[in-house]
Amino acid sequence: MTETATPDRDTGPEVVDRVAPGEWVMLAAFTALALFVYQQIYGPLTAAGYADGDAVNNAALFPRLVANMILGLCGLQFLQLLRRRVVLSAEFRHGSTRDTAWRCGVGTMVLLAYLLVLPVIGFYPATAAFLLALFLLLKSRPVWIAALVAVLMTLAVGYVFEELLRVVLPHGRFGLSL
Amino acid sequence: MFDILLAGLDSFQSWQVIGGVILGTVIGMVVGVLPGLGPLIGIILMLPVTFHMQPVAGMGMLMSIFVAGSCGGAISAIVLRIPGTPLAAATLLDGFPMAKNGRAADAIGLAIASSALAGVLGGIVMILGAPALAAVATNFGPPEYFALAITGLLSISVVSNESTIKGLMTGALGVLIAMVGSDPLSNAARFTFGTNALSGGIHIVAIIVGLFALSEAAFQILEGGFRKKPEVQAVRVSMRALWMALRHWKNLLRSSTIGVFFGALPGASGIIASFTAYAIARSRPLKGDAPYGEGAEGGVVATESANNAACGGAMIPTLALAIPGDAATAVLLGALLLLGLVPGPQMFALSGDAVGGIFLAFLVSNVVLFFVGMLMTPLFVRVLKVRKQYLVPTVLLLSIVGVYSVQSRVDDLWVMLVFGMLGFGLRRYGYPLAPIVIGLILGPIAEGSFRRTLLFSDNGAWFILERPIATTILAIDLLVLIVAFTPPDLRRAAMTRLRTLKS
Repeated sequence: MTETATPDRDTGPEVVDRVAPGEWVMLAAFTALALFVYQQIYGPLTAAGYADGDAVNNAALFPRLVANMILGLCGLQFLQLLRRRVVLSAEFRHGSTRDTAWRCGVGTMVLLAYLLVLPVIGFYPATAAFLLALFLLLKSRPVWIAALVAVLMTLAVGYVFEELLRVVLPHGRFGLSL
Repeated sequence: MFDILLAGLDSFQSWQVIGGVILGTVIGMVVGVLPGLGPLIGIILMLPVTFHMQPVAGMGMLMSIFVAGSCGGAISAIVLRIPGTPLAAATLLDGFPMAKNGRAADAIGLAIASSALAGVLGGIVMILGAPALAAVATNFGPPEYFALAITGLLSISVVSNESTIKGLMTGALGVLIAMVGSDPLSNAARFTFGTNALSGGIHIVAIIVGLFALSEAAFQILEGGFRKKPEVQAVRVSMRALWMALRHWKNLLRSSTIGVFFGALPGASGIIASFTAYAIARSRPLKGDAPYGEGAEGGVVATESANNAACGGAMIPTLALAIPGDAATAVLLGALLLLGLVPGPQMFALSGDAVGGIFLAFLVSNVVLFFVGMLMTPLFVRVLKVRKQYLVPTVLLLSIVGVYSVQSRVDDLWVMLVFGMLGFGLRRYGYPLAPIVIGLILGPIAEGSFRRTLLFSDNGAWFILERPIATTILAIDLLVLIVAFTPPDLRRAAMTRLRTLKS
């Protein structure tokens, strides 16, 4: 990001003089959300007979109001973006390096993989592997300590939820539980 | 006051409640101490656990996290000059200079003692104020509730640090998310895509954990510094701190009053309260105290008593009107609903014993805060040494298992992941997340009240204008909106003109 930031004398937060492409994407996403609400009102809700009538039966009454409000706000935000008066978010100010962005992306993939394998192999092996992968991703060394902490943490959390709170954690095909 | 407390004594007297309060206080201090977490994340992480507890025990634990988390941030502010939570930002102004002068233990002791004393004062105001407000609110009808819900939604969006427009957009998003599922009035399926999985709506725990905890974990990874381990000295706090705090009793009382006032205002929060209390205390220094900004005890007392008294203040509209003032009280309100208690005037009439138990738990949590703080400060200071490479996976694991444990459904974890990504995207571009939670909680109240108002009136929505309380509240909302949307240049010009006219 190459925006130059200037402090807003009145409100305090920094205001950027160039708009990040993501701002337009977010604006488009909110506009699409409002249009989706209209599609639902004039599609399924109208077909089911719930888009008109009195206040009890008109289930589309309030969604329509909210969608109108979102569209109005999107219009205002559009003008803000055109005027390049965008408050710089705290996250932007801190920024990230290529290395940490890569680790964040891989971390998301690890979480995705964990959710996929959790019902298949069960809580204990999946969680121990998930934690170990995250520890290593976040530069925890030596590996054996990371593995030990991963196993101990899995057992501790499993014990609290399974034994103390009586939660049935996913057993998977191996049927492992405490 | 005593009637309601006596009614709650039975539900309070159990090991689960007392254990929950102690555990909540310890967890609250830990999440408060660790920069980046804070009471909100603590409440969110422990919210699923309360499903397996009695309502008073569950609420007692969550409120203890709220109370202790509001105090814990002072420890890192004093020791490291990094406030553990934004609430403690004003505490470092004098807390850190005190530590630099070799008085870290005194500063931490003062912060804990002031927080506990002010918390008790805030609790007493809550116990007196909430039933009184609830009694007034029993005369409220749908138009008044609609107006109050709109106030709650507006205030958090307008006061949020980010853009007002973005705050209102995310608030509206929260209202829309709350609409997914069956419409309670007509039973129509809305935004379900014809699937049964969405007919019951999206579970609030999965949404909140995803939005806040997952996005926070992602930002912590982006920030780097996984192996960073700050150098901190061992600190031991003595009971003398209580007398030190009482020496500033005027400051303590004044700052607590400020805290309760700002806490009770939707959207204002303890951060504004602590800075306001600090500014006022600074203009009235105590004889013999160090200058403000150079390690004045009064500075620590003012900020810490204000932000903890704000907890009691914030609970007044939350319990009496079901109008939360910020994201943390919105989650507490959600917890009440999930535990089978319906907040608002009806709760005081129908579940007086539970309300009394909750009040007692709140008061006791502040007493426990004092003792836990005095005894366990060396441990909390050591917590600061936990490396991010272990902290982030722990937060993720607790989020995952917590969300799963609510309904024992892996599907909820996918919902959490989706909302985690959404939360990350929104935060990255400066869209505040707190209004989403407020929208989730207040959306159904606003919609139900609005439609009931229309049902009872012949004049459509204009019926609201025939009700003086609702009209006044909506007029204030309109004024707030006009001020928020007035361009800064115009606002400055108007202020200058006003000053000229005045002089």
